[in-house]
Amino acid sequence: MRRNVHFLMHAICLFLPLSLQGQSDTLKIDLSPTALVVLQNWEARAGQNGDWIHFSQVTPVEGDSSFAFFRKQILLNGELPETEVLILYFVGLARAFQVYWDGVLLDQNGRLSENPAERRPGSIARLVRIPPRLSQPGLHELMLRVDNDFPRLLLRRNRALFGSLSEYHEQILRGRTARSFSLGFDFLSFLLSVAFFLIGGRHRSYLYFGLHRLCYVLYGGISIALVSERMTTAAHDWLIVSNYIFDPLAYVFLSWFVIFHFSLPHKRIHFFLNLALFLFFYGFWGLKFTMLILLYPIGMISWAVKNKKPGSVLALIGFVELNIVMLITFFKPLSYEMMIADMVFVFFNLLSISRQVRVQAQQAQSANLRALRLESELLKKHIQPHFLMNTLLTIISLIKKQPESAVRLIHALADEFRLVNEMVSQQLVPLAQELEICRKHLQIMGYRRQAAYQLKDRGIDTQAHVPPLIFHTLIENGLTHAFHVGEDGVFDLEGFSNERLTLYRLSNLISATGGDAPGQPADEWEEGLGLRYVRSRLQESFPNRWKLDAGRENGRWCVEIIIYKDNHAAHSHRGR
Amino acid sequence: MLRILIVEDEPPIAEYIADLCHTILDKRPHLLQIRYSLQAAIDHLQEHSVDLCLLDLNLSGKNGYEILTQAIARSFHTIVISAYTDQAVQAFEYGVLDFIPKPFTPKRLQKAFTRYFDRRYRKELATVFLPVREGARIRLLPCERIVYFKSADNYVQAISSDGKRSLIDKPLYRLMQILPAHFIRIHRSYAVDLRRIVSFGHLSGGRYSVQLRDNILLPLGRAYLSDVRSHLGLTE
Repeated sequence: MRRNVHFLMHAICLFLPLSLQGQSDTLKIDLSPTALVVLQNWEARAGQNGDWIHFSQVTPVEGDSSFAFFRKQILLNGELPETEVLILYFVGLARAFQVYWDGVLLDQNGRLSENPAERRPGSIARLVRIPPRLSQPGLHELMLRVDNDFPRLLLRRNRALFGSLSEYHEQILRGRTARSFSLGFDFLSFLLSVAFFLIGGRHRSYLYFGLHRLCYVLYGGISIALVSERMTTAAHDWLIVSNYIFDPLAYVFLSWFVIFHFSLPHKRIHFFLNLALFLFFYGFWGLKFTMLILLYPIGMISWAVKNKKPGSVLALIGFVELNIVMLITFFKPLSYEMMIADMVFVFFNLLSISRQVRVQAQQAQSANLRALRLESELLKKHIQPHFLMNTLLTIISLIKKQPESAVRLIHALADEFRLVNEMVSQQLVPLAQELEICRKHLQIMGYRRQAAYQLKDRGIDTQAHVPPLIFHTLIENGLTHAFHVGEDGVFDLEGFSNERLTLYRLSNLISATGGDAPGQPADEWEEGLGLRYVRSRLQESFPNRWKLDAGRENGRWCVEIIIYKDNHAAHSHRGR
Repeated sequence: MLRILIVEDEPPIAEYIADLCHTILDKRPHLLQIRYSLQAAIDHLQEHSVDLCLLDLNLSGKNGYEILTQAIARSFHTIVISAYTDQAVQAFEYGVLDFIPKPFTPKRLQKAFTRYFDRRYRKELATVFLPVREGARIRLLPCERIVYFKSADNYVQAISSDGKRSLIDKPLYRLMQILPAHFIRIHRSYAVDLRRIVSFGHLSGGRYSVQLRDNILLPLGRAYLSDVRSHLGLTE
């Protein structure tokens, strides 16, 4: 966007005045430095007759005539070097005109005619050389005869410049180099953004930033292709039209970038408000008030900084920096400084993206580590000495007195280990398998504690998937905390599912004679290793869309797990 | 009559331990009682005296150690029977007489009983902390700070380097079984940290004494004289 400000400075003006020597009608020029100056403060009149009036620029003059005359007196001081030639350069004057120097017709751009059918507009930029014989020191008069009838609505300003040919070439070269460099920078930043998109988990905001830069690449390419010494009005019109296309488009992508990069809530509302603000200012004043438009994304990024979103500080630095330079531009036109400010802006936003990519990589790494840790935790749970060694000792103790029970216990233990082996590397397992291992475990614990334990299920979709051993862990906890030794126990697992969520509720009667749960506060019990395992597993499989509550209810110990179908359902349900 | 309390929350294992105890003790008079939870065991200990506690302790949590210190602070010896072998060193540091890893053989349990009955047995992994009673509270007293022990009836006074006296609810001969090797008996009623002995000699009337650092003078029993000499590397 600010690139277009930059471009307008260069594409329409191409170069800037180095000095403006005096505000009077007569411009005094020192020939030795021969710098380019903008010709302002013209005298103008409509037609051959009438009074001369003051005009700052060569613009249509109100009057009856089809022609307007503009004149400017120029006083040349000193000697012009032999190798140097004086030039006049007109840009943006998209009307036919004739140039007179000391009454001599130097050039005609387009065709001027009394007959409207014969009129032709000239090229948008026009270089006119002043012959050396007319470049002698002294007072000279520049006169323009301008066709008054080609109101180019798309044009906003025109410039007439005066100076040496070598300076003109120098400025043209500088302008083109800057534009080519800027184009290359934009293209590189586009490619970098696409690369971040591809390696950074295809986060759409990175692509939006790339597309934002691509708008400038395309616009820059078009401008380089179209802007020339003999640029036609049609080409100039295309340039202006493309400006009107790429400016809003680039802003749309920039807005999306900010909204998605920092996962702002109410995305649509922010986008439309942001766009409306842009179109309001852009429609009336073009890019003059860009610093006001940018306050909206700066506000959004400030929210991201407050919420500690990764990369938000870097993006804020980039946007604020750009806005400060925009503000300076409002009071004092800048060119190359604007280009550098833009590069700094891009640099900080690419840093912001790379910061997020890094955070994502770290999160992915920690997710892998968590998965491995959970896997090892699961294994550890089953080769933990308390479970395994006690079961083996129970087998030893049963062998003599109850050999058949010992054999059945060995089979149940083998079955449980077989199931653990099948489940260990799975992130999710069918509920049927989970229920099977729970029942095997209850069978083993029944032998060990000389009691009958049961698991009853109701309304359960056995094909549904859950993280491995979550109910097994809860039942294990229940056995430890709820039942007295030798006391029979029943666990009830109920299920409920709709289009938004699936609910599981595991409960057991709390022993009246034994067990720790009744006397323990719920939060203390919840902090146990088992529950931490269940929470970690749920977070791994259903990130931020699950809920677990545990506590006593009507003499029963209840654990309720809700798994939401999507984040939206989780958010809206929690919000209620 | 040897009173044994088995604390084990799994009935088949508790009965198995009880059966093995009956076999090992054979004709030695004994009374075996089983409790299936720690709370039930604590309740039992409030009202009954025991000589030996065979404790299945889940030592994975902090609470495990709290219960363990409570048990060890009592007058009886504690033998832990646990599957958590990685906790054995810490259990020894807290003063248990023996640690039997699960699953165990009858022979291993028998070895533990042999250690219990051997008055001169000193366990290899020495106790680092001694649980001492301070009113209703139990405090862990580091063995390094104890200068000497003085026996009084069925309890022992531990005198620390700062002169503070703490009561330990065990007879001295039972305490000696779990103390670090640098504590030696010098008298029927005294045991000292031999690293603190400055000199020893005989007083008038055929009595002997040991002088410790800080001018502490303790009686040296004639029966323990040669033992002290050998521990100090002195020969007759």
